[in-house]
Amino acid sequence: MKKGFISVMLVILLVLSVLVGCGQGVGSAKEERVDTLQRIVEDGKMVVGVRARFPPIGQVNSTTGEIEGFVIDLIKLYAEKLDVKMEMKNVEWAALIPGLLNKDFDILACHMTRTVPRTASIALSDPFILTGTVAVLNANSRLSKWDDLNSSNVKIGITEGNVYIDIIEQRFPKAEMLTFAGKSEWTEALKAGRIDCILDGEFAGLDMMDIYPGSFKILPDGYLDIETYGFATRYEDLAFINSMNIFLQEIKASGEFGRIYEKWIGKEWVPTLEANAI
Amino acid sequence: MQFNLKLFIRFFPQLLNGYFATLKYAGVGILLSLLFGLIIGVVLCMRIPVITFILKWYIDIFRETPLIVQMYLLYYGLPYMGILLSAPVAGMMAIILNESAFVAEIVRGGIESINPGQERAALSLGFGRVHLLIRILLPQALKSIYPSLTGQASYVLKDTSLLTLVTIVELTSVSRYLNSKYLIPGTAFIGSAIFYVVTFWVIQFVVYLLQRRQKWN
Repeated sequence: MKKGFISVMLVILLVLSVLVGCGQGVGSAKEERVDTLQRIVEDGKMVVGVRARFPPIGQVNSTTGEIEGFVIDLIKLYAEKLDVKMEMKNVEWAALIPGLLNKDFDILACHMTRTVPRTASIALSDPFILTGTVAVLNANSRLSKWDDLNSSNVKIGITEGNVYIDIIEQRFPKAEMLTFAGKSEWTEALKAGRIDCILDGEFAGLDMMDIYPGSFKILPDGYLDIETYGFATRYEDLAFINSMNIFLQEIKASGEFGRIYEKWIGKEWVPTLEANAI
Repeated sequence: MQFNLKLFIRFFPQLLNGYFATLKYAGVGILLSLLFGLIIGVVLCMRIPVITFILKWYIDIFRETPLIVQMYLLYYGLPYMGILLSAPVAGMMAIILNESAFVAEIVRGGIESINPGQERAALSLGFGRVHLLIRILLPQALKSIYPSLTGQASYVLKDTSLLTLVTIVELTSVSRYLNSKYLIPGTAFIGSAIFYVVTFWVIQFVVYLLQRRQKWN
């Protein structure tokens, strides 16, 4: 028993040291750096990672089964202007950034909140929409101001890996934070009263209210923070991100952006200075 | 995918905190699932008509459905029936119900595999059935089934990683948090794997020591 024990330990230590060695080597991928945008133009095809479960930014049409939405129309327009074909892959939220880094997609077109920590891993374009953080509560909740959330009686739910984790730790340190695997999990938890509220983008909040009409309401104290969503590429693809930024400027000036905005968001687009004139 | 030793050291305190929670849940889970499994296994061997039927039903259902489904039903499903269990209670109930079913089968198999000649001899000598089971058959059965029971302990340890799905913070949820925040899957998950493997070695070593002590007796 002892001999087997020791040899198994040695094997595992050996494997670990090899992995550590790889980690400190000069980059594990010795591939040639091909610029993504150039490759897209040469191939005539672009692969886009989407998350079509966030109306009205990206959703699946319940009648036709097609992927559609605000950002979908934008990226389709971009592909037209670049004269390339587009393939969309609809995946789980947690698979988006890893898929991008793994080169399963060339770009992400989804409700990707632009945050500073994210820029350490991916490149983000200029904003394509301005929205904000809201809190969704049970319809009979007595919470009415953001300050009410900072209390040890309050349980806040969020999705794992969400940008709001840091915000909650800073702004509502007294509250208890519970992490859920996904939207359906915390929707159920809120309904059952396991949590008092969830923090998410405005569109997610409005969508949840549609799922269980009458059960929920939005905290009537405005946005906690302003959020902007942007396209995401690998951070070495600066040409691609620059291309997206120029595209956004162009369509905002020409009126095409305003049309798509009104179609999906339901109100007239009014550019503001708060977030780069979006 | 790379394991970054510097990052592992930086996040070691957080992983360690998660690990203590895992130990807590695993400890309770192992003790209670072994205890309940033992009791259920012995009761099964007593062959009491209605009870045997109910227990076999329970064992089938809990062995043949995934633990994650059981956890979700207890945590998200029960509220629809008006029962609101806290996350630790729901999660641990799922683990204990699930693994006790396996332990019960292991115990039952161990007891029933003992030479029936013993049973006949004991009964003819006037031993009561329960006495027979507990004082004569069970100790012998334990000697042959303890490797399977060690395996069960490792299953419970690994089951605790699913508790993260019902909002409990333990080792795996710390790994997932680190990974989604910093995008370091190699470091985060190999890091937690190290904790699990070392814990299993300790369990094995403890069992080995107990075994040796028994042999000397």
